[in-house]
Amino acid sequence: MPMTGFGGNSTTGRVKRVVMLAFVALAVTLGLTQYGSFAALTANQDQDDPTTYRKPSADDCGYLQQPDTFKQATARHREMVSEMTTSVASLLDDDNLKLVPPQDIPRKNFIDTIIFDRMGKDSIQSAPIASDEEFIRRVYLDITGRIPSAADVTAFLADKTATKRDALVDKLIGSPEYVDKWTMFFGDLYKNNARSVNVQRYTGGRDAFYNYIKDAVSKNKPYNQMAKEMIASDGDNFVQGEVNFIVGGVVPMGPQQDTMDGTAVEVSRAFLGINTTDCLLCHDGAGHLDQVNLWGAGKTRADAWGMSAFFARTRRQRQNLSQQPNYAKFIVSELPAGEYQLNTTTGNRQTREPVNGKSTVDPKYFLGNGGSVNAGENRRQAIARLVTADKQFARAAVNYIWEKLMVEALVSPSNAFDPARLDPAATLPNGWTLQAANPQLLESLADEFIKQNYDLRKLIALIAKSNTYQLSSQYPGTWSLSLVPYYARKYIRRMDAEEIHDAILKATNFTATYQMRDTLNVNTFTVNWAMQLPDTNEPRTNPQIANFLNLFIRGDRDVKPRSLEPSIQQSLTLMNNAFVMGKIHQANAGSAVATLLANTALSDQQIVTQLFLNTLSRNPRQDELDALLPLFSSQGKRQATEGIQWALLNKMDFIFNY
Amino acid sequence: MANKFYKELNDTKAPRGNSPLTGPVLGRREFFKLTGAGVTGAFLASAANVNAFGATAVGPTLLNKAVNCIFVLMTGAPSHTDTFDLKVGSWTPADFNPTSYNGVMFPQGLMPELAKQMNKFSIVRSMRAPALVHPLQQTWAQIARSPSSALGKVAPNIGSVIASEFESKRTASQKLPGFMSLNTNGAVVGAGYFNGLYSPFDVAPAPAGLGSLANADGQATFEARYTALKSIDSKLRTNSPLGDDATTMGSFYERGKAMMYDPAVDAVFKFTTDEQIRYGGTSMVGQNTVNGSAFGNACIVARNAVKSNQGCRFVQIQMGGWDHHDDIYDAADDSRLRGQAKDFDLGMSALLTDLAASPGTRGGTLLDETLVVWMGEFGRTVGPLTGQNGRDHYFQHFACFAGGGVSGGKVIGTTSADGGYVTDPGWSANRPAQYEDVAATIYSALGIDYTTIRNDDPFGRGFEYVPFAAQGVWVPINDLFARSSAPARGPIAPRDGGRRIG
Repeated sequence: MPMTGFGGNSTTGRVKRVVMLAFVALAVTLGLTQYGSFAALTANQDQDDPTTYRKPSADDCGYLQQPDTFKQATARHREMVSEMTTSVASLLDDDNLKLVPPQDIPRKNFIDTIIFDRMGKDSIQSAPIASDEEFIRRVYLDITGRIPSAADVTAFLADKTATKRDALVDKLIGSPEYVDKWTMFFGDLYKNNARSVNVQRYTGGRDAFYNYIKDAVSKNKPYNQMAKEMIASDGDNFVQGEVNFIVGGVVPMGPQQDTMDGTAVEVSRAFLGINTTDCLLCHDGAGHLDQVNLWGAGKTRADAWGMSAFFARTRRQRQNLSQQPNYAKFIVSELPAGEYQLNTTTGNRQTREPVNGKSTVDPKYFLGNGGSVNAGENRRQAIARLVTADKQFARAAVNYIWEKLMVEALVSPSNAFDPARLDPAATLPNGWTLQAANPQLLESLADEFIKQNYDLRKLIALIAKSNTYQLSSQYPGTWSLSLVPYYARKYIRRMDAEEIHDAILKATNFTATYQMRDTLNVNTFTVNWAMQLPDTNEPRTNPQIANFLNLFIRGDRDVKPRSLEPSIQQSLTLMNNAFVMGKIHQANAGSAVATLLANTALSDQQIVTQLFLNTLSRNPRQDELDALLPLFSSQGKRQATEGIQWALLNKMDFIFNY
Repeated sequence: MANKFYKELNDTKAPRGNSPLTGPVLGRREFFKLTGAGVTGAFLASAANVNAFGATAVGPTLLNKAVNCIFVLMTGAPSHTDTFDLKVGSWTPADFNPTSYNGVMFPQGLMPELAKQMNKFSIVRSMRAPALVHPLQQTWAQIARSPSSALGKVAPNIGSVIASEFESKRTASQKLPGFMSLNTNGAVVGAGYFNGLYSPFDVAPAPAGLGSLANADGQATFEARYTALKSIDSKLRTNSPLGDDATTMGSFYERGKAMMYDPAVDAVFKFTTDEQIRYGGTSMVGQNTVNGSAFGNACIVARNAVKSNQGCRFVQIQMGGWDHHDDIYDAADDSRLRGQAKDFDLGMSALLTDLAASPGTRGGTLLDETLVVWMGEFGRTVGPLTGQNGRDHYFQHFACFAGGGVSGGKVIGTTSADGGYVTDPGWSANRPAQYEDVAATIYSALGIDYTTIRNDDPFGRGFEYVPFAAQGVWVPINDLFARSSAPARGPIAPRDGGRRIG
């Protein structure tokens, strides 16, 4: 939320240093991020001068005293997914569909074996396999973030090869569009942006991080190697993009330990799917997490400090490049010495006091059998090794990817892992159940990911080729919330802001060019699709487009989460915004409409069919043709063509991936 | 009990522990400690259990004087001791011209126009913030509860609650969304778990109006296309039997379309240069004269919205820029206090003037039926300026109220000589007031039972419009509405339950 700006007509031209005192309340993101209502802070921020900061008191995490919120997070998420799916699926009603006994669904890989065997055991009927039309649009959006072209659709529908779906998955994975989509995905996961509440990477750091991620995705770098590089690398954050992950651990307005804690929190969340570290760094789990997280309830603040201590020697040396405007980079390095001291009374967390007379904390990994620093490695190299060697690292990764493709994560919310409730063979205390929607599947996916040397493309292909992924989103029978953990149908999601933008471009046969500019206002590079933007505040050089994307709530990779919340303004925008209106006319040079109208050989029905294929990636149904074809005689060809193009961009299923 | 409680809340010198989130005010622990087990029981009761307590509950007396609310959140936190709780000291610039109006000190030189309208608004000076974190407090003020509390992440904005309460009173000709937010740059708290229809309609006002209210191809073409759209998409857009989301989205299209090509709606968002100047003066940017201010523009649209009687019942205006840590009195920089105060003074005084000069729907003026509230999320340090010639964050602050039945010219609450803490709460609850009391006041003024508990929240806990209000913990500041200067009535007796929905 801007602290300055609206009313303050800064007419003097003097650049004021406005120090922002606010700090984000400890990431209050235990699940429920889709409801997050935390206002964003975008104030001018200059962390050079700590003397002007008022020291805030520490945070009591009062919310953890009300565990119902967190206990029911999974149920709430399932309800939302179920509602979205059922309501949008009603659009696609096909009376000919029938439920299928799970034993009749072919098992294409172990995912199907686990999913459909379980449904059979519990006498749950499966949705039928999705039609080719349903599948092709879905898989294009999920793997590449863009809708298929009309030619892609017709060729796929005409293809009679039995293995054509597998072939399509293989074709899409690794494509340039795939790289864009998953670069955006990991940019979200690692919170890459130029400016956040806690720290500014500036455009130099952001772009370097963006390029690092893009390079890793395009080369299919093993995921464990990516993680090790991001955690352990040293260097200039404008050059070594991966060190920007560590830069993101900065927590200002407190002692150094707050930043060590902040880094441990980010490593836990991004690479282990564990968000309770944030809680434990203020207080023991007992008395707070007892009803939320069985593992966390047994952990102490000292255990969490053990994680933070791995970052006690991490140095982020800020080098000013410019004062007006502020522009600075960080040199990340590892100091030869330095400990996590228990000696603070101010800052963002509670007082740190010696434990049993010991005033420093030794680094110790908080999962499994622990582990610490080996000879010949520094502390960050040690924690990078420990994290990536842990099966929890693989579980967290496959769960995040599963969520992106399947909408509902196996452990949901996907950053709320309870490591004590994952092993299908575990004996759990009374009142606790295994956490994952399908514990055996989670373990098997993690095992496979490890076995395949953390190959992201193989993991994505495995999921996308399964019949579990390829079920219809329609469920021609009685659906209930209790079926959500079975994945007995495909769940529907609204498309991301970038996907909507790019789908409008692609459907209407346009491309865009957006100029990126660095903090010093120098042009850097251009992108052609929203999915290629380096963060979710761009393109700053094109505020109309940035606003368009913001209306579909893409989050800020900091305090504002992505959200599917609809609004009247989204509707008004899709109906009237220049971004849409400039693409539907014959007079819009190069538009799909212009191309269709130029081809006088086309019948009215061919035009409608082509518009459907372009925009909705499917053929029109007979009732749709019946409704639309009369427009050609009543309105004339041009008007009808333009109007149908407009209507299809505003048709409800256009902005959903079903 | 109340006195002891208030004393602990207010003791700025006492150690606060480590609890800015639950804060010095009614953190759960303090609440238990100070009020004892009786209330604790009700507090902890599940939604189902509370019914046992609340079986005999009688609704509170509601003020029910207003049908609109304009809520101005002055983000960044304005200095209370330089503005609405003026404390004169050696640091006070002479041209602030501290002037006493019936004993109320006011910086006439800083806000000359509002100084002329002191009889229209009243000041609560016994406001205390629970913590000093900008986004947390800004959110808190908008949802009337700690963002960290159980329902904090799903809680709707006060404006969404009001929009939903007034929805059934909407007539077919009323086209505006029930809740509009202005100049928030998207940072307004949304509808939470409420239906998306009650989301804030977020606008950055500009003289030319709202571009999306018309289609570039003209109305006739637009209508024809919309008809075509419905002919292929109606199943999803209306009465979707399986869920709320699609029908909500469908209704968004209907609501959006209804706003288009409606001169009454269009006029709400448009304004003239003359109006801009009256609401915000002129300023120089480089060689250019700039008319009006962003805040003034928002005040014009807020005025238009309530004046149009088009179904918009809550307008939230965000006016940022009050976070003056350095050079707070710098006269050469319009982003400092003087520039901010000038924009606020011109915009708010013109708004109050126009509302008072417009007829309402109930026989009085529009101001009589429109509650106007302005406040920051907290206050700023008191006494001499800091080393940076500024003021840092502070718990003590103010809230001002006008219209909607508020008796103007009053000051509620007295603070210490330096403005650092409350010496006399000055109102019936006999304790400092907090955001929750302001929310209860707004609800009550609009005839909405602030003790309402809805049983439709995702967690089944019971969503309280104002948490614990049903137990009498938070109450409307009724003293604002009383004609006499004495507190309107004694402390409100705690009740065990509230109105229940769902």
